[in-house]
Amino acid sequence: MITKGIIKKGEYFDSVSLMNTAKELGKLKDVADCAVVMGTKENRSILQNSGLLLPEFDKSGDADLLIAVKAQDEAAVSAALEKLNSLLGRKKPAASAGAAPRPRSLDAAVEGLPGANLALISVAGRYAGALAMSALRKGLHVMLFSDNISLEQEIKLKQFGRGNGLLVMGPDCGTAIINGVPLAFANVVKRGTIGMVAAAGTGLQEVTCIVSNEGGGVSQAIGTGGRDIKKDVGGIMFLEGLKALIADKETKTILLVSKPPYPEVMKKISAQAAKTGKPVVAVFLGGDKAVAQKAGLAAASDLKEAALLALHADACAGKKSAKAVLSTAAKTVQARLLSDQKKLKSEAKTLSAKVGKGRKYVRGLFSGGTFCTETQLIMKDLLGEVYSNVPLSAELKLADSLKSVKNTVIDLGEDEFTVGRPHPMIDYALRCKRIIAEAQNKDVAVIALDVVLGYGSHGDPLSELLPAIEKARKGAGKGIVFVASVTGTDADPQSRARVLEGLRAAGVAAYGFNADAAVVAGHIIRFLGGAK
Amino acid sequence: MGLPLAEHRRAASTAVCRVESVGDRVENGLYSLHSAFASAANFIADDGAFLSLVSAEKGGGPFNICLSGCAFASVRFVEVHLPRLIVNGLELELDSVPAYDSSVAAFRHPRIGSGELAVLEKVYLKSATSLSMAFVLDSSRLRHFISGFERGFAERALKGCASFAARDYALAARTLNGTGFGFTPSGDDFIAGMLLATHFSSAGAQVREIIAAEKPGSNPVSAAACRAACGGCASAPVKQLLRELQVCGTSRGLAEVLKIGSTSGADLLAGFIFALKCLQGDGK
Repeated sequence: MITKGIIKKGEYFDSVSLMNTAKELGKLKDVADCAVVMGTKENRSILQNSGLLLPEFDKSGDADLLIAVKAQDEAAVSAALEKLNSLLGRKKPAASAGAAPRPRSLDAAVEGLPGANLALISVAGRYAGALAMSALRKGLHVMLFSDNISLEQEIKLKQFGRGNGLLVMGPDCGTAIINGVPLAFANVVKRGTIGMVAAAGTGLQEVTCIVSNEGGGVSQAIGTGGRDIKKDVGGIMFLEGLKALIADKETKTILLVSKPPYPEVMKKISAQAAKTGKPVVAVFLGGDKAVAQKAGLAAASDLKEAALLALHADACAGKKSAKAVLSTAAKTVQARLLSDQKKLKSEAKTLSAKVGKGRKYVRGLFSGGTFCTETQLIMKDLLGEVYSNVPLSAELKLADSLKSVKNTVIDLGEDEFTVGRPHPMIDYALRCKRIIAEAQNKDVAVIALDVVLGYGSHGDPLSELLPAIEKARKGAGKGIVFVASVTGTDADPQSRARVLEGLRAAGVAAYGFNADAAVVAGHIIRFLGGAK
Repeated sequence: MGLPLAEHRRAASTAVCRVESVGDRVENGLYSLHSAFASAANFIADDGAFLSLVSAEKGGGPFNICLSGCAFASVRFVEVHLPRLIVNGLELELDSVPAYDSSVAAFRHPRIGSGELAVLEKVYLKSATSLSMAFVLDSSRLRHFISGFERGFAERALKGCASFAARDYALAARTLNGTGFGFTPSGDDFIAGMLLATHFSSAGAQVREIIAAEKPGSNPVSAAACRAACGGCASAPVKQLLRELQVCGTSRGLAEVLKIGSTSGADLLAGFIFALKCLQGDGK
């Protein structure tokens, strides 16, 4: 029996590789024992006790790999060392190289990427419906970014999708995160166990970002398009999305986001949600919370509360019953929200002292439709009437969307503003003009903004907003307070931290939640004597 | 919405080499490459300071600089002058990069009771690889240690544990240090776990001091891990698991910890569970 070995200078491998390699060598004919270990002093000591220490190992260091083989003869040792080289020297798979394919048709795309199971469609509306149906017929889930698809066509597509186990996200679906992949307007969020279905694009962005920023993660974020929960479509895909999340093993907690669904749709959602033992949190902005609560859902008033409820419920999901988990989460979140409210009110008081004399109204200029609605709901409680181009009630609709009245909140993403131009999350020109124009009005005390980050959005929003704010202040806008919310994560291409810091450095009261920004803006007006 | 697809493709492609987070134990200095793996590269400075460049998916750690969009496998030198970071001569923006807070001491309820520990041990023993130091908690796993070296290593590890249980903490550290397989020897990872456990026991401070005096960690990487554990610092998966254990009494985050290295996470947890059981008076 002989013992021989070698030192591989500066070579290191993980422990499982080394143990498995040693086991493989040990199986060879005529090999009695062997060791493949890092050359630490302590390992050399163990080798000595095992009869495997060789004189040449004395010169080895911590970062060297020691191989010792005890075998019947030289030939067996040689065979073992040869095998060692093949085991440790296995080539890693080469990285894929070359540019991504750029197919010019759906057929070419499917052929070029045989494993694909989802088509993201963004073509002119008149072609989008037929293309979506072709994709569905090929067995692909569909995300329909395009709008201007008829209601009839939407229903047809969704019925076909439901019948074939395929999702139809959209039309006019701006946001989704499927299996960790952000689609269209979406953010770089952490993966986790909270699954979401939303008929509200920027609402979905807000809750995914809050969950991620607060330490949780997203399993799936399914968009449906805003029309899905209305009477005609009947919530076909909202319900399919919910079913998918209930069945998804990676999803422990479910979060639903939308405007209030049509009552019949709401009933179906409740019935579906009752079939799962997973905690379900819902925010139906502007809806009656009691309806959702009656159905066993944890109902939130705004996106922040909803995301935090889901986050806290998720931390203990599976440990207790869904009801108990939601009850504990509600207590924790309420305590947090009360504390935040106190702080925000105090900040509003400080900010109100900076407002010029005689100024008394807020002007909200939003790129996200959900944020516009959420802001109106929060301000309604604080201020009473809030006018808008997409108002909470018909009597508060602006006669002319270009002319603000008293407290006004505008959705600049509405069709009336986007015809022939990119969405305001990409193109800030219209909003910047409006900021400067609103600042000319001596009644305006607060200008409230949302800044939405992530893929699809403007790459450098500060470069657009800050000069506009500066210009607004230089003119008649002295004495106006700017309040903004930033939706995004630090991993987004624009970096949420960087944008928040940039806004704050420019004197903007910037917040990480749209609800917080709305509360501050509303309270400022209250401190200035604005009614309710 | 009216957004042309080309627009968001362009926006999406603007992502370049970016720093996602910087560990709170990263110090200023000029670092040279020590070792490189597929998704992490380790660097040491002349004064022994240590840092790792890791891909964003690996997450935060006390000495981790998380990068996305960077081919850091080719990096040979890293210069840190907070808030500046120079990687292979390329200056990266750190101004608004979040610091990864590695402290486990920040938790509101620092105690992990015997009930929570039992839950963790049970799930751990179901999941940990047979090649890890889980044999310290379940002797039936010794059957996987067959060769002379494997048996010698297991024997020595058990001796070290016996010393710890007998409250000879210095001997325990000396016996376990540097033993075992892998780039960071299993014994070093195990000690890091023991050190972390001392932060969850009222009797832990003195134990920690004694072990730290032995300067555990047989190479710069594992020595840094032991220093971090001594200071109550942990990587994101470990911190998440401990937090979850405290708050909910569950251990769903275990799988992420077991993904650290090939057995490093498992070895660290074996040390953590073993030491905490001893400190709670249940060590065998």
